[in-house]
Amino acid sequence: MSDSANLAARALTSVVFIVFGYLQFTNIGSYTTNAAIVKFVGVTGGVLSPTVIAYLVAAIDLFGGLLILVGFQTRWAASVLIIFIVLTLIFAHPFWTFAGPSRAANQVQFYKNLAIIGALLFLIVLGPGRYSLDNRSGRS
Amino acid sequence: MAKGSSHPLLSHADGIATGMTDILLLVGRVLIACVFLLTVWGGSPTVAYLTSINFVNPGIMSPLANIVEWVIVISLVLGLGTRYGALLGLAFVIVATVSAHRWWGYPQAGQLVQYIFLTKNLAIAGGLIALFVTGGGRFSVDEKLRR
Repeated sequence: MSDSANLAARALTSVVFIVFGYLQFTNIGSYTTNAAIVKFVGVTGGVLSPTVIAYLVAAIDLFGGLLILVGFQTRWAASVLIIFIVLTLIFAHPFWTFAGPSRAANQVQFYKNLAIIGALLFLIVLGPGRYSLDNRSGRS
Repeated sequence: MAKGSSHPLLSHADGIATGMTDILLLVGRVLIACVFLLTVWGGSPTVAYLTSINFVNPGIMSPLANIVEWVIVISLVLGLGTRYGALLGLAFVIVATVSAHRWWGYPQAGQLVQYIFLTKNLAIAGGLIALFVTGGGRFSVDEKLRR
């Protein structure tokens, strides 16, 4: 059953990335002014403009999610997404810097993101499995 | 379980993943346990909260849910009955998501955040399924008991 469970795990884990990558691409205007993106641009000294970062974030979300779903370069994709989530922990959900209700709200998102890192670590351990493009293209 | 996934140039991650399997499993277990710990630490879901979402029998289900969450946390962190802990966690996430994050039932302003909760919970469910497949790894009480 482990190959179908692997596929189910990848599919479930990929949804959040695909959906929000898609939403970011289709609402890119509101993401270029997103507080976390503005902060990231500030910290990196404006090497990349907010628009570039917004597209980059959307692309990592959408394509990272799709790669996980179809199981293509699964381990690489999961590793990139983990780095991305770590950045969201620091830039989007540093709950300890918030006060009031937004502190609790960001704390929940922070811990959920931690759990998603856990999920991606398990996918890295599992590897591609039978129902994946890695498996079809692999071992040439 | 672990095998070469692609062209040699693209399969370096395989070596890292297979070499660090047990560490990755330990870290992943703790990270997933954290989200349950955060919830249960504040006594959530409380009777008042379950009442507010019209959950059945809040007076019984709230303490039950708290106990279940503690069992999940302990099981995942220690790696004790890891696969049962993963299944229990999966069941908990499914019940919580279906009962509390029906985003379409919320007013427009609150829908996006419920939708985020829903999709993030799906990812956590995916992680618990993956953990069910992998088991707890070497750094677990399960492994100590096996010997």
